[in-house]
Amino acid sequence: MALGLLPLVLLTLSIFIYLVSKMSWKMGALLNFLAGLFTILYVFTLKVGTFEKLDLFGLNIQFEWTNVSFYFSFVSLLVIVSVMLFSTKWLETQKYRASYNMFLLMVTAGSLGVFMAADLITLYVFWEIAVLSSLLIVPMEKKEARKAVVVYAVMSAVGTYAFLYGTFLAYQRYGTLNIHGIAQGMLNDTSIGFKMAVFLLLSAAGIAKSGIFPLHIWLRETHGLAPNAFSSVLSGQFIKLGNYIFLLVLSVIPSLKVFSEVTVYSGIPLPNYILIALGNVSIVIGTLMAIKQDDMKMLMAYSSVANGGYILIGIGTMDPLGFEGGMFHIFNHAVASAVIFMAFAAVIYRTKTQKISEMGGLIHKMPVTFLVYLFSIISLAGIPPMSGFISKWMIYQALVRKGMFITAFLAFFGSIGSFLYVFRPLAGVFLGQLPRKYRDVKEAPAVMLTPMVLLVLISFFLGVWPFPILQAIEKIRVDLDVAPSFKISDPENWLVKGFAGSWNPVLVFGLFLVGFIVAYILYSLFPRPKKVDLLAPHREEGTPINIYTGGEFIYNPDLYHYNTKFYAGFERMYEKHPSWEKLLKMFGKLFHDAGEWIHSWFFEPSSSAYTFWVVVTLLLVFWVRW
Amino acid sequence: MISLLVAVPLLAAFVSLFWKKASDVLFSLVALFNVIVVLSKWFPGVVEIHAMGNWKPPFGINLVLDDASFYAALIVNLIFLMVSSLPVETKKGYETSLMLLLGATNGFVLTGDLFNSFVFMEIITITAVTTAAKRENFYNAYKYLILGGIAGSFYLLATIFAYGATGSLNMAHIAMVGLSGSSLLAVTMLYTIGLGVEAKLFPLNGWVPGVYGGNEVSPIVLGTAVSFAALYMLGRLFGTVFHGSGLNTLYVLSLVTILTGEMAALRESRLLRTFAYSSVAQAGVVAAMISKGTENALNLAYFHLTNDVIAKFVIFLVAGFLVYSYRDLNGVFRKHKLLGISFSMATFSLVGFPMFAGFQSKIRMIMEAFSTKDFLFPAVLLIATAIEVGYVIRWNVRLWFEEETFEERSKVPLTIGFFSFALAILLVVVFLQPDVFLEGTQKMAKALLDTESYVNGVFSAVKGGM
Repeated sequence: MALGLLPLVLLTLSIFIYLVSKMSWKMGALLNFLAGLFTILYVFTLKVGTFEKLDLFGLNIQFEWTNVSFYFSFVSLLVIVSVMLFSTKWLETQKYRASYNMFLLMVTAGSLGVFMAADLITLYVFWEIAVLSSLLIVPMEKKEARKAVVVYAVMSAVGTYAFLYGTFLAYQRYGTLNIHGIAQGMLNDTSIGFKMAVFLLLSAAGIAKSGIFPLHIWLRETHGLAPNAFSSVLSGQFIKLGNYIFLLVLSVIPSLKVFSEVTVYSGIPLPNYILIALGNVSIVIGTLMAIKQDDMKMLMAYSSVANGGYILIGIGTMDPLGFEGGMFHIFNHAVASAVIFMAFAAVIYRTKTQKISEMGGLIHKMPVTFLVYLFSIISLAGIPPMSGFISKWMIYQALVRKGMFITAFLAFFGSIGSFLYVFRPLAGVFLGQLPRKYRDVKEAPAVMLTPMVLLVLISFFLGVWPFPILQAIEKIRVDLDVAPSFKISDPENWLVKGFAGSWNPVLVFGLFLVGFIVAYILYSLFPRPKKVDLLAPHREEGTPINIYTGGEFIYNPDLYHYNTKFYAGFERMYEKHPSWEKLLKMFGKLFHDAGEWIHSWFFEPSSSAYTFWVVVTLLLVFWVRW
Repeated sequence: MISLLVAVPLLAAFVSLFWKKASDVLFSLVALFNVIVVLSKWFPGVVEIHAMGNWKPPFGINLVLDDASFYAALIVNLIFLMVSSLPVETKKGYETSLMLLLGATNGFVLTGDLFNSFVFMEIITITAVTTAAKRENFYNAYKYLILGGIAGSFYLLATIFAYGATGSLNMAHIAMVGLSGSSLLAVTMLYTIGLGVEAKLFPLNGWVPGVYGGNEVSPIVLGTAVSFAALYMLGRLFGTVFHGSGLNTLYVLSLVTILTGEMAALRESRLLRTFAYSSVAQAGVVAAMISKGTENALNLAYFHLTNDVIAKFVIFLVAGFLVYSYRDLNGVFRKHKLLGISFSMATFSLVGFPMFAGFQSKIRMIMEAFSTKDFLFPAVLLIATAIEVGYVIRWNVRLWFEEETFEERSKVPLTIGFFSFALAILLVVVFLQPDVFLEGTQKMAKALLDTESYVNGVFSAVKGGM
């Protein structure tokens, strides 16, 4: 089957799935899952280096399958197929099931098209298809999502249209829309200002889509209010579209060589440094804002902002370790984020609430969900033995080696902060006391647990044995000519090379395993804590009031839930922070008010006012032209 | 033969005054007849004329049918055919006006004489005002009447100046003789203002939201067919007759039109009026492309206009039906899925999302602008599109997902459902195969710029004499 046909077939299949879902949504969701599974297997069979030109829609559409395409498609499809499997059960909570199935498959088709596009117009076409489909899924469930989706649409449009403007600017100068052609053109171009303009315009799409400062405000509400399983796709996969754009402008168009005259610090060119600075701010904002949130999903949305910053920093340093770290982090964040959102969806499916302050103690009722969530946050915080450690470790090494002390400091701060904020939902939702109303909550259904468990197992496996994925990334890095002689992964000796030596991930895992075994032995030897039934005095006359309750007679144990504002002291430090969200909303209001002014002066008034404007125009025109 | 396109609707309109019960049938028959006549003359390629009263041009009035006026006449008559097939309640009592409008629009598009075009423009203004008054929309119709009258005066003044400068009222003759210097300046500026009111340029377009938003029939007819005719005349006058001078003013005015139209649409909370402002902005886009004056630019301008006209037809058809059937529009598409899908597809075409026709025209326009080193127009267009995304998504979300107050489901007339869905599918087909329209608009653009063959065609195809 030809390369380009894949997204097109998926698009037509989505309409068919809509019709099937109208009859039986389960069939539709299952068909979706099978289509996704087929695609992911098909993607493995595609040969790297295939190039295809299609004359479709009156445009010259060019597809090319590179290592980068494969990597991104694999990561995206992994997340999407998991969510599709998850949705086969979860979709019963939704109202618009047929449309959801259709648009989910269209998002897949659009994303694949983006990754296999060889020229910028094809990329734009499939990008818009994916964005449009996601725009129609987001408002499906919650009332507040309807306002949020407009903000999302406009910010995405701003990024996308800046990208389009940059594309045509480059087209007009270099005569081609093909990515390699533009790269070649930029290499030969001497005007730095023009190249910077094109670079910034093209990366605007990435900034808007990945949620990097300054276009990050839409993430909180959109990810927070989208239908729960779809938030997994938004956070885990959609953001990768933006990261792909960054990869394009930073590496595929070799920014090191294109901007070699304007290096700013330690051999990093100016435009890269601008993006790294934006990434730094994103990390700070993402981390600090996440710590504040009460809603679980909005918290993780800010985490996506921070992790987007990490990826950008990793790729932007143009350092082999940083590049591989950034690329690996794309995979890690996708998987961890997808699992976390799916775990939230599972919890919300069972408890019917989204606020951390209302939950607690669910570890007793949903242990598997707890475990997958725990492993994902360990990965996201960058702790061995999960794969997140490896990617973050590589990024740190690169930053230290480049001497980028500010960025390194912020990266470490972000890492510590990330553990702070991911721990709060863990403690608030799973640990602590189980409210009485959740006494009958059951574990999430098996079909919802399976994808989460599988993804966590993959992440765990790659944390111990990262070589398969590191080899793939290394191939990409060598292809893109980023310090090709420096080899990082060494599977025969089980070593991952760094700059100051190499380390053995299996050994690290082994140490953690030994530590865990020792701790477990100690845990089983020492006496267990005793469970205290706080309501026993209510039920049985004469039960002594427990010391645990300080001699008080407890009427409602739920009130003693303490997991809400843990970090209140820390939050108070930055309570009065300036709000970027308010600033951008002010811009929106500016346009709105300009429209009001135009309306009241030109469109509303009486006919004599219209006559006045005609005469004024006539006089003005004659005065100017005479 | 081509004069029948004007004469038959006029005759039928007068007949329907006496035979009111048959006016609906008469309208459908006349529209059908017109379409058949137009189709029989498919893209003539050469310039054909009909000299009225057999007076040889440049004496007397002649109607001209070349590729450009053919395309315009085709679009106009097809739209009127669709309007005539709409259910009776939509146009009850207004069929006479609509028939007159049909005849006048055809005349406006086909005429080769400046004064004749003024006459037809006045008839268009009056019948459009009548149509705009449906559903007691009297104040807005009155404002349109005043503004249309003033526009007509400026149009007449421009015609008079042209006559004074060249001694003739015939478009071909004026193109041949040519205006120069201050008379060219005066004439082009006055035509810009005169036509600008009908073509919805800023700040002459105050009437648009009131007229388009006032009832369900005026936007479907005025926003599509009449707009097409006005913008066709813009191309004809500035392209063929004035050889491309006076276009800078048009360019500046149209850029301002685009931005002000979109920003005014953003704050609007009523459905019909929002898309009336969108019509204003799109007319600005087309006028901006016309003002570039090259063949490719004109080609793309009319391609965009055709896409816009089709999308607007769907939008106004669906919106007009819904606004007057339901008090509260929240979530109304859940009751009418087919109408909703058609409406959404049309609005996405308007924005320029891929998979719909609007994408093809917008992308090509941006490419064309960049290739002529015009960096301003694409920036304005993209900013306007970003604003468009805002209100299009807001409306779509509100009409699909908002909680509805309970109201009985009104039955959708068959023609409304059929036309909206068929045209929405057409938009997808045009995306897949843009040459469907591009071939036609290519010929149209060529004919508009080819002054020589226009002049030769008019003067050589002579029958009879003085």
